[in-house]
Amino acid sequence: MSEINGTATWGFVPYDDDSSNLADTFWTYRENYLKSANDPLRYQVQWFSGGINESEEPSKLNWNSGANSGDVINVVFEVYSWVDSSEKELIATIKKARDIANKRYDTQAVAVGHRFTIDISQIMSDQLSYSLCPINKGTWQSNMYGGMNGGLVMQDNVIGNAAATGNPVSNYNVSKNGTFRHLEVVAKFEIIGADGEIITPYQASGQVTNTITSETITVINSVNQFEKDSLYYYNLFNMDIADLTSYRFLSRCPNFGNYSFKKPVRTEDEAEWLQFYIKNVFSTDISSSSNSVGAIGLYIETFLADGTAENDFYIRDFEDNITTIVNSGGYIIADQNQDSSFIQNISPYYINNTASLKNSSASRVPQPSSNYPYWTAYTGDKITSDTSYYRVSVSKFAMWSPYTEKRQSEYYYYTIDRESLKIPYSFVRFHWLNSLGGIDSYTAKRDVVEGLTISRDVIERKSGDRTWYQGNQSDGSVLDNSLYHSDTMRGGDIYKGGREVTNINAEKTQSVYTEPLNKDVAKWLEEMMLSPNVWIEMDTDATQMGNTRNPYLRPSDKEYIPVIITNSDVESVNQENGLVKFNIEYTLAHKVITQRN
Amino acid sequence: MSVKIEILDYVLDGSSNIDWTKSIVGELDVTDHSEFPLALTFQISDIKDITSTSGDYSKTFKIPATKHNNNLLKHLYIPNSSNTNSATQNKPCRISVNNLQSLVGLIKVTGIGGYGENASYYNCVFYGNNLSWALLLDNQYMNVIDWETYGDDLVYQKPEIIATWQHEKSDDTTSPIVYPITSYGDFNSLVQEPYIQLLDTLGQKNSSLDPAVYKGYVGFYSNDNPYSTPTPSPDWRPAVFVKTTLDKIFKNVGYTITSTFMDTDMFKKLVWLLPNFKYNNVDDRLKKYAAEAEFVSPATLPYQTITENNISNTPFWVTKPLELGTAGTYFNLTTETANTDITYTNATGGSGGSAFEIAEYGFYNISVFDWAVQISNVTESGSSTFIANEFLGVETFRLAIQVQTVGHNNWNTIDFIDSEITYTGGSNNWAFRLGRSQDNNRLVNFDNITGIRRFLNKGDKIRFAIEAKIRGQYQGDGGDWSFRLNPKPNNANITFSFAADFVEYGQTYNLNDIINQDYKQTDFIKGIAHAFNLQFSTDETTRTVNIEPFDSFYLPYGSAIDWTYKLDRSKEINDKWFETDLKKKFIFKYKTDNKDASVQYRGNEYFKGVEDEYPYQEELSGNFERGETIFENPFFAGSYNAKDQDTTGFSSTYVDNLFSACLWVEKEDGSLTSPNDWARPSKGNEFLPRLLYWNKQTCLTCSSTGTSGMKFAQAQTWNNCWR
Repeated sequence: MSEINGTATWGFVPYDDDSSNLADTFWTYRENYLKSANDPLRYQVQWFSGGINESEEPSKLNWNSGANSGDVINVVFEVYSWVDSSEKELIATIKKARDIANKRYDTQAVAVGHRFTIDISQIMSDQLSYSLCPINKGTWQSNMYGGMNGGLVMQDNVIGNAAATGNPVSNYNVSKNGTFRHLEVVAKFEIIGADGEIITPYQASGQVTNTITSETITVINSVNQFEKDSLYYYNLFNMDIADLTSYRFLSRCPNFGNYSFKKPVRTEDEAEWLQFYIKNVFSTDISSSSNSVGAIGLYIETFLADGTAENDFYIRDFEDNITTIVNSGGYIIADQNQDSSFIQNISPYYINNTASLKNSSASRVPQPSSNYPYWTAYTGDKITSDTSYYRVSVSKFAMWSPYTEKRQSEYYYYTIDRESLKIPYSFVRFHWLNSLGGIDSYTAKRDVVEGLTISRDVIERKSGDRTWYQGNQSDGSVLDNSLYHSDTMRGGDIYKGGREVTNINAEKTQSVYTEPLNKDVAKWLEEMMLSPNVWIEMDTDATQMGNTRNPYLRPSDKEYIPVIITNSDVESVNQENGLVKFNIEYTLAHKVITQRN
Repeated sequence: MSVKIEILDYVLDGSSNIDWTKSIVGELDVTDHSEFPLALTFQISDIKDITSTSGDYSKTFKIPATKHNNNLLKHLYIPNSSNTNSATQNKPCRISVNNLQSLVGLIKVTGIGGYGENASYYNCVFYGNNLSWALLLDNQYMNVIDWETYGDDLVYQKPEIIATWQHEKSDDTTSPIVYPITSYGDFNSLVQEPYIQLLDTLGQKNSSLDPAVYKGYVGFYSNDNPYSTPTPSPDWRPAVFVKTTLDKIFKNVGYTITSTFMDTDMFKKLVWLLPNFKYNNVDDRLKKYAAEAEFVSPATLPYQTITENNISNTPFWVTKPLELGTAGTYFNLTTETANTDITYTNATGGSGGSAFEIAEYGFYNISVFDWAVQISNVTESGSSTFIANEFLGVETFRLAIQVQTVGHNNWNTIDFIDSEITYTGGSNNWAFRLGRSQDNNRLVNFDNITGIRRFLNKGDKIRFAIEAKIRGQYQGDGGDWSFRLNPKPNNANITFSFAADFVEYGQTYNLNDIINQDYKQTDFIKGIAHAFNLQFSTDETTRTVNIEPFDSFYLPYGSAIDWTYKLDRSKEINDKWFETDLKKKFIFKYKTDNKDASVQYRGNEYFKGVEDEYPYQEELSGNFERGETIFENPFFAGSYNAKDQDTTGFSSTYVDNLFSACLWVEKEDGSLTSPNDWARPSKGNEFLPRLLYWNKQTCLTCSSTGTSGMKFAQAQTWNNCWR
């Protein structure tokens, strides 16, 4: 049985609150729960024992034989990550000796205590990718296991989940939602024993002791540029209980708030996404006696060209992924702590043709006759031929009468692009992993070019000997036709040999121009150029197969096809010309398949 | 072409479940196939390095540090990441080309590169044919081979030695060893007769006695007579079957051997000699079989009372074994020997004396330091009042070490030290006077017993006694005398030093404990390959190593495959001539053992200075550069074989003996050792391993008179001969 001398606590950690050591250092941006995996994620343990300072080495001489305690020499950080708390996964173990000493500015004195600091941002970055929602589907199947997740293509070689007999749905072809991970760090210690040996402190039961566990946070696959983006998502991208309208979806497209840009969407668009992170689904004081929320949806309002309000309704597919509880009265209520990533399709085609749109919240009936989810069907007009634009925001309805509605996000604006399609030069609709870890899209419509770049590997092989030709006679006698085995002919086989193509390497090269873009939109569209994951929508025999075979999982004939943007430079600001246009050059990620020789 | 690399390092959690946290299992992301530089080198054997065999390996290639690869390789880019399963070690791996499994072997991450804090690539090397097991065997030593149960608890006794002679070849037995007749120097060294010693215990020699009780080689009968056996001399040293050894080596790393050559009877009879037969775990053995008792100071051990009535005036010995008390009270074992297997039994009340039971056969040196005894409480007929001429004379006090041989009851003194007592008064100046004398209460000091080297049996008991040689002087002869002996072991100690280096008769050893710790498994394999020009090829799928001699390994030219059609004639063709640094003179030889004086002498005398037995030498034409190219076996030394007359028993005439290996160090007088006489140097213990041929002789069943067949060796046990 042993333990550490003195005490160990967290120092710098990503999340702080009023009771943390950081509270006396920084007063604001506390409870910054949602973090980027691509920003520093520093975890620091501070160890204080008597007056030990950074000039003193841990020593066996400090072994306390009475308490069986010793100086800390290493901290072992165990990094746990999960989307489902029942499946916490130890993803890394990092052993860290103490940081180098700090020198006081005036007296040269060193700091009291020892510090052990690591940054695990890249480890967390390695856990994240993206998750696409199938085109024309309302939301992804599961918050934990996502829609179509990034990462390695699965092996997919198990047809039976428990036996040789196949099962239609494989348990072994499932990956985790690539958009978020919960993170917890456990610090364990190594101390110096009486004889200089290194010991892990343990209790009489043999269990490791003196461990300290960090607060759980959530990281997403976002990037924050030094010159323009805030790292603090508190009350911004981290939708929480506070009654605010400033919450935003996971996109930096400038089509929100009071900004005049309305993102163009087309009536045939089946995939336009809003991805968002809900920490706490409740809303402060949404009703007089409770913060409980009964229904949450995206409120869609359509407008005519002159700004006159036209139709309004709700879309709430994502609400199916809200976890719920049943209270003592038998009412199904959204669980307060969601701590999860959501997505909703708000494309015109989906709204008009597929979505089960809703009206404002209905009365609540407890189980067993529960009418959860608490909506009524919407039967009115949606996006009409007169609709000029629409806007989307998050609405929460109180659980209890009078079912108060509160908007709890910015307005996001979309304009209907009614330019006619120039078949066969169809527009190119891009989707990409955006700078907040969500999915953005843009339709480029100008000057579509497609082509192939081809190279061939050629070798030279031996040619046949033409000196002696196979005649039809042998010593003056005509050969019987039945004597021939095949049509091979000595000396006459000149159809092959010499130089031959062994291999053809081909790439499809394509390009398209955008509309003229103003500076802010161009800056946003830069993200596509900077994104590692870009897709275009395609509607082909191949993509239609998914819809034919399984219209639930692939409700559209269109599919995402990965592309690689090949532009080496783009111009996003040009004062002389004013607006700029991007020429987006790209090639398909899937290979062009050719025969081999 | 698509290339797929899969790492398959499964770690189980103690049951049948995979511990995914510790396992490194998955497919690596590789870069675009056309730029993926997985260049494999298919190495064939190197003519200049006869021990090199074919092997496949890749040049270092890069794989991208994708998120998946980072996770798969456990975030190697973090220098202080701590994983029980390090991804930098060799990992089982397979490479598939176009979804067809192509290569199986090992992959090793040799480096990480990138900019700033983020890794961008990993450097990897792939090891395939042969190199996979070669890497696994790298730095594996011969003394860690898993012989399963067959290499453990080997008993070095006559029946077990003889039992190994029944096996003709390696697959006749599960035992990996035999004991061949091989001379390492003077057989039966303290008995100058030409016999190999093959010693029985008393119970083995005398069929009327229970061998499980009478287990001693050396000792005393219950009538105090000594056994009179020759000093145990372990003349038989083990040799290990080569085939068994190779099988175990490869089995330990998960491979099996297929070889027509190795399935021949000739190969199965090959053995490699362990010519030194000494332990490599001496420190451990000392902790087990030695003991050192340090007495506390001052230690007041229980006194022993000597009472003798009507004592004769003729001096006689009285003996009192000592009671040493419980361990930890009067004495403590030193830290080094605290866990010794020597068992200590305390005896109270002066019954038989406290005793130490020896835990292993072998040679011991028992020493006793700084002992003294005080005499007190002298009485005659119960009275401590004496008149003139009333005293007990003591000629000598003696501190004795006594043994009780296993199976017997009597105690016999095997070492002692007498006190140098000084007369202090009275008329008889030879006597130590107790009674009305100042010799009462005197402290008598003993010099140290530094001990002599003595063979003790497992189960022998050792006790310590104080003896006194006394006579009566009570108004003439006689008197009923009594006095106390108070042992005074101040700062004293008793040490059982154990000769832990060498295997001795009766001992039980593990094979791996007597294999030199410097012998490498790869050197052993190379040594065998060198001896027979063996070539290796490995099927990694079935994990089978095919081993054959060169001539049968490579097909003849007539079986060559025509690759003409595969030639790309558009490429420039360059012919490069084979560059060689071979010299004019070739020498194929075994290793030179500088402890083997006979081989050295013969090499210089008969083999042009090449210190080996019958080295092969070849002179090439003048086209080659002058000089020597030496191909030396990396493991085995050459052995001199002769018809050794030192094994033949008494005979006045030369015996046309069979050849046996003779490993002889230089004689003490520097003269050459001849197989034709009996003069031999002391046994050597620093020879290099040898490669021998085990030739089982049925002549071992000859009659005791030796008349029914040729006698090639005679062995001695006790005072009889065994043929």
